[in-house]
Amino acid sequence: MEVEKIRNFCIIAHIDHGKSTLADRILEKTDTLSDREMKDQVLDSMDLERERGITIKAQPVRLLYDGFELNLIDTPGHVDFSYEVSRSLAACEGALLVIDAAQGIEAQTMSNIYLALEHDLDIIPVINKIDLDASDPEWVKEQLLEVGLDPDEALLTSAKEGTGIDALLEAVIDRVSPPRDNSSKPLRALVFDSVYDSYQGVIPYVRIIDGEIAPGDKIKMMSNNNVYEVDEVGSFSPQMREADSLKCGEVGYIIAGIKEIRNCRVGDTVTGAHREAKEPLPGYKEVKPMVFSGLYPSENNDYELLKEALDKLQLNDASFTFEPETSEALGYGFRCGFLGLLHMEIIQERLEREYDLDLVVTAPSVVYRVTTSQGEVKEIENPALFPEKNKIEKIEEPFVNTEIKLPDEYIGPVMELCENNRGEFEDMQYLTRDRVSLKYNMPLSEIITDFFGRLKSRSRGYATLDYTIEGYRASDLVKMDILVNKEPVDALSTVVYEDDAYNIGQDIAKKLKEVIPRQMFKVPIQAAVGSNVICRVTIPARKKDVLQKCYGGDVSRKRKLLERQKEGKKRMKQVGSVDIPQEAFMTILERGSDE
Amino acid sequence: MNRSSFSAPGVNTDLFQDFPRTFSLYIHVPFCRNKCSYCDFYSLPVKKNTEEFFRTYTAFLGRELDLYGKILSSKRLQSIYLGGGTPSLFSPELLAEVLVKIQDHFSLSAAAEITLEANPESLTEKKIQNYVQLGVNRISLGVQSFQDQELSLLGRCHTADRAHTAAGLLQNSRVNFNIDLIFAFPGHTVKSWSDTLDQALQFAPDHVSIYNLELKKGTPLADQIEAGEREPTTEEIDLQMYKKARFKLIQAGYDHYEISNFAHPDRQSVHNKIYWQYRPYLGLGPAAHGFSGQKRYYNTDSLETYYSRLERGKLPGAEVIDLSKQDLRAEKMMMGLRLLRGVSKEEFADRFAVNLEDVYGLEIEKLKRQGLLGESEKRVFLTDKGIFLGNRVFQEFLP
Repeated sequence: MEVEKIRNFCIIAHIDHGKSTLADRILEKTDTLSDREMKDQVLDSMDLERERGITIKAQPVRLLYDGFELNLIDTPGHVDFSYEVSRSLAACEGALLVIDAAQGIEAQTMSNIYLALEHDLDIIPVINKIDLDASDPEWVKEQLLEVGLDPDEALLTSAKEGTGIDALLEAVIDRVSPPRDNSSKPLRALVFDSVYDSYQGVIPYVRIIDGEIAPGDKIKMMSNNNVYEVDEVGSFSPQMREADSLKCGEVGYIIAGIKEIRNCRVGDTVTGAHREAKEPLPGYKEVKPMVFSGLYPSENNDYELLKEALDKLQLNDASFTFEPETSEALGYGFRCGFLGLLHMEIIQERLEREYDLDLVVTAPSVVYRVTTSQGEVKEIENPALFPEKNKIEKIEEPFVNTEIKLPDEYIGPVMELCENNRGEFEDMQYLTRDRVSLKYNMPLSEIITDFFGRLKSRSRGYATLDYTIEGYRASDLVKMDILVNKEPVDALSTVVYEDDAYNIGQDIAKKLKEVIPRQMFKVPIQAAVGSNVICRVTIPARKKDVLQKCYGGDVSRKRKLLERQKEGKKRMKQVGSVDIPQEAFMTILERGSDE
Repeated sequence: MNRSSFSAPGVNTDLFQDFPRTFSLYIHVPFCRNKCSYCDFYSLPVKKNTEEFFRTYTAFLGRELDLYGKILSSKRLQSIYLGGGTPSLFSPELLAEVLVKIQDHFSLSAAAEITLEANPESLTEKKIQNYVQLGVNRISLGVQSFQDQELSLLGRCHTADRAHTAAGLLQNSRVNFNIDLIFAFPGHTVKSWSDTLDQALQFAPDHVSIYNLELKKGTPLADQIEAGEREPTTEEIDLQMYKKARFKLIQAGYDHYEISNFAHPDRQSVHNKIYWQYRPYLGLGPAAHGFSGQKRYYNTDSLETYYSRLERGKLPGAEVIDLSKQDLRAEKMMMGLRLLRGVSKEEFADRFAVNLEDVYGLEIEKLKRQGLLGESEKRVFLTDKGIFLGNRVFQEFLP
């Protein structure tokens, strides 16, 4: 296809504004799929994506319409994946900005607009869900004007009912620029995602920015200079369909026997090994995980299984990291890094679902930047590994800009919640007569400690939360250890704001007292900062534990009870001489639970 | 442990060939006027037409006895225990039929113990006399408490007054009798427990059983606790009550011979000791359990199925549990250590053809180190601490 006939575009939208449904309608309208292949949210191929209504992986598809080749790239819709989104945008010339006609412009919409503008995309505003009673397209148009977009260019659609789709496709052809014709230049292809196939290895999804690519070519990854030979190229229908070549401006995949995903990261540039481009495409960076937690198999025997599962998941997801870690309390496991909480939940859920693993997960932690007395700067993601208090000069932690949207009747309790979590008030604005946007700067560590759950409970589920990383700031933080029977339990160590240490320590100690069963001896539980014990509770010794009746000679019943008791004991983790149930390791997460 | 369905071919004869010459008989009477708030045993409420209802039940017990009469080659009983439920709902006439039927098929040893469980509300002087004339020589009275408020909490249908009357009647009748008491239920105080014990002792029972309340999921009392309507007692109070009872009963001349049981000399329950000594017993009636010495089995827990199986001339068993050598030894320890005398090394060696130390040397050493088990030349037994923490001990022996 000649370059003038190609249009590359993406759909960007706030969660739930109808992106995937709109994509479905576009596929139908362009007859890309037969009726038999059509199902809801076609481009969300994982069960998890459909269940949660979110897109996790970018999914491109080539549409043929009116003699044009339209490449649609469905992008992830969550802040955890903003880098991936930015690379998908870099592969396009235009963007459909989908806005819910009843909800209007939301936090995510704004950041999407900024992203699209940054990438110099032609933006087509699409006001969707006009079928809803509560829809108010005129109001949305006013909002568009406020953010500097031309409201007259906005299209009105109902993805649900299929209205406005033709006009939308026409608009893509008329208003999205064709790719620049750089056919004669040396090859440069932008990797915007990849999948792993057990036979073919890593298959990068690319947009050809300059030159072209065909089977037999030798290619080079510009970030690491690895060279591969191309076996196959093709486009998406949305299944992979082999082609003779991928030409300048096209979107497709490359099969080149790439073994490891770390050698083919999102954002990298593919060039020709014999005719090399001078510069890689801009914008490549190695994304760093923001949230870390320890993953341990419940059954020690499952360690190898967990390792295999993590290996497999990583084949598809380079942004997720893991390293072996040993905990005195939990045994052998892995410290895993995630882009954010959603990413963490997704990985955990996939491990448990797809690999049938039973996991003990330690409370999530952010990456702290610790400056030691010697002036050394360390990045520490496991509280258990913090240096001694007197060897620390300064601790910095990541802060985020949060935006919470909620009905105004819940402002009071939600502001209180933010302030209790070290939030610094930034701004409050009425979005509508009774809907408010609250902005706070907050430490990320506060957000990942069940903040969302408490936010939901304080707003009866009506509040939404978005956050973006602001940067690192120095804070008065201390590492708090939990000692069970006088021995520190590494998996229970946590980093807390100094002023909160006492309250949090008490909370955790009390919770542990509830979940750790009585032992044959008294067990003190202490929270300590350095050598300073800040609180202590005691689990009394088991004093009486004996079954009484054996009714009518029912030995089975008696034995079952004893076996259950014995089994329960086996499932606990033994720390020193104390049996600790798995749920104890999650108590840190539930700290300060509400009301 | 292997489980097989009762109707599996070959099961019945195998199972019943194991029975030795002499064994015991348990008859379950799963009917009550109403269900107690803590009870999760199999029992059905009977309100009306009790006599007719029991007539049918008696007939079916008769059929079950007939079947066993044919199958079992050895037929000597050293004890019979009618438990429930509320066996004292049996009229003496119908009970007579049951006892006659038993003796149609089985012989009784000279000193055979025949126990009937009774609830205070269904016991009269006349009834006691009749029962004794029929051969019942031990009555176990389910008093549970001598405080009205507590009885109503426990969902018992008698009052403290009625319990007094019944205990008084038993005392006067001179029949060997036991009083059952419950402690450590929600709201129970040491003071009222102490008072209940004193009242029980006034009637000079031959035997006293004390049970701390075990909360079972799904019972009204457990539900109330889960809903936060009642506070469960603490382990500390439970222990205090247990110690209190032990002290009072021993002071009054009773022998603490099993974790929950106290008796005057020569008044230990023969039948219950069969369980603790892990010796064989046949169980009749729905949901009854039996043990051949090698295998355990239990009957269907549906009265309907029980009747229909017997109607078709089939045994009403639900399942047979094959026990491995390890199972048998472990259960012997788990049951035997409940008797405060403990387990005899010689008896263990005779029964299993292996020395106790060779099988459980490590476990015994560990428990001795923890102060839970004691050992003499001839026996191993629970220490005082081990009595309170019996479950810890029993668990060690389970495979």
